[in-house]
Amino acid sequence: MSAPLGTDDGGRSVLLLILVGARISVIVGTVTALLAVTAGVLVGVAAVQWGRWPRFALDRIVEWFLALPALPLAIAVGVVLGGGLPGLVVAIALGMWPQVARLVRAQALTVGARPYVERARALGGGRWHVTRHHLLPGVAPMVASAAVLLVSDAILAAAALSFLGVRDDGGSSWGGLLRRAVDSGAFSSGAWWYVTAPGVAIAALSLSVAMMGRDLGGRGARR
Amino acid sequence: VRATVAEAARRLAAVTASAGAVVVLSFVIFRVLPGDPVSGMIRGRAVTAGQVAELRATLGVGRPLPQQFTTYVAGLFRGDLGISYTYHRPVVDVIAERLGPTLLLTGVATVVAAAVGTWAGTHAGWRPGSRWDRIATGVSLTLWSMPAFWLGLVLMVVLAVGVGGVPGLFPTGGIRTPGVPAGTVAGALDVTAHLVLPCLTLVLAQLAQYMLVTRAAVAEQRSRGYLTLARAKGLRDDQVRRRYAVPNALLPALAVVFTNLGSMVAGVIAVETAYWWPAPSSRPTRWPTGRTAWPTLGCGRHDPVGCGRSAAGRRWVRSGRSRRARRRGRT
Repeated sequence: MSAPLGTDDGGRSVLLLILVGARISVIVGTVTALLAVTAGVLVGVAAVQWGRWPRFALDRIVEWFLALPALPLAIAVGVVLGGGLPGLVVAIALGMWPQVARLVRAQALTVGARPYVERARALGGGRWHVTRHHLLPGVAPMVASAAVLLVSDAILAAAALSFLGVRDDGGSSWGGLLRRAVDSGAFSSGAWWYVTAPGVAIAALSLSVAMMGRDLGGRGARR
Repeated sequence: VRATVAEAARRLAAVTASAGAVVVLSFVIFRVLPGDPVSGMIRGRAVTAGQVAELRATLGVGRPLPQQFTTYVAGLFRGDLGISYTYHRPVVDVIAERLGPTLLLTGVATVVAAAVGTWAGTHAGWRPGSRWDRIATGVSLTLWSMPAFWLGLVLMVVLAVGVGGVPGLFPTGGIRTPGVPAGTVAGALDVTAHLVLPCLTLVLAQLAQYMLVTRAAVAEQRSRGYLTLARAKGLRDDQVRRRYAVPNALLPALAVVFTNLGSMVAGVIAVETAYWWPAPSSRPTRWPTGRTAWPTLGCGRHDPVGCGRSAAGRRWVRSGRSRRARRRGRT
């Protein structure tokens, strides 16, 4: 029983391959979500805090990106950026930040209209002061829960992109493993363990991260 | 009337602006960002500098960017999307021959997923917290967390290749068996047999969004006063559900169906790849640095994940917040 989940076409343990691949999934998931959240919060808050015309322009930009289908965009950008891990992260984040910007914009508008923010402004609090001490703390709980959900989305998207061959990693990520499994004919030869295990890993990680986001959302609202 | 015309004009202007932005963006992504089609085509091959220059001249990528852009836009208005760098054929032809199979697959899958999802959702939402509700919600959320292309592979292993003593029931990929004539009853049956597995994959992956939206909508109707009236009339429980609650709950669910149609078309890519739909040749071994992806940039609405996950499941996950807050408030 040296390989509890069987071996791949090269005789390597599938279990070990999955354990090693988890690193890439977790890294891509978190970094992508961080990138998307940073960009989304910046644009969302800027749209609220600046004047009428910058807001109009930013809203249109967000709308354009929302209208682009994420997967083709990610494939295109991923290919153009050369198929490295940073390119993959940027490609996925590019399709995600507009959602965050929308969310943050709506929430920042609500928070900004509250009496205590008005009081801060009346006492002479500038744009930066209000943003730092009132708007950002106001949107933080919601952003945190959204960010965790984005991690789960990014894990799935990264797997899909690796499977489609946008990033050729020789099978070190979970999506790449599945691609190798398919390319080596694992499913037509009946090597079900090679196809099942990476998928179960992706689904389990994605579902558990989504559940974490759900729980975090509950906590955030309770405060 | 004038207000309607003004509104229509405003919408049209917004659509034109968005379409223009998509055109500009798709140009920028492929031309201004580092890397050009030629470097992608010659990757890993021995070529001379002369050959590279010739290739660049043929493809027109060596010209100044503004000139390339005007050529591209002028081509768009003539319906000319250029020549595919991968297939060496006009892009319009490549898309046109794939459009039919893609629409067939997504169309059938959407109808089935919406029907099954709505049915499961109404029953789950009518009795929230019941055993059926917990099973249906759990199953669809689990399916929602799976990568659609992987689900496709598993179904292929089980139902097309066969596991253990079970023989393969369906073809593993493609759209028709070579030798079966198209346009006959046998040909139609053949295409149907090829359609089953990719379609089932898409249905399972899309189920959660229809199921969860309907579930929430029906659950919301449950406490409405008109249902009390309907019950007071002496109707049976399932009559109240069927005739009163469901018709009112279906409207939001229907809205979701239509807003998701576009993202379905975009999200189908991975499943089509897994099943070689419509043909083995349509599966690129490596995504080309080419224009083939361009028109796709325009044909779908936003799908946050690409592989078919949607806003509905996310909404369900978020709704945990309010439900939990309410529970805390009560205790």
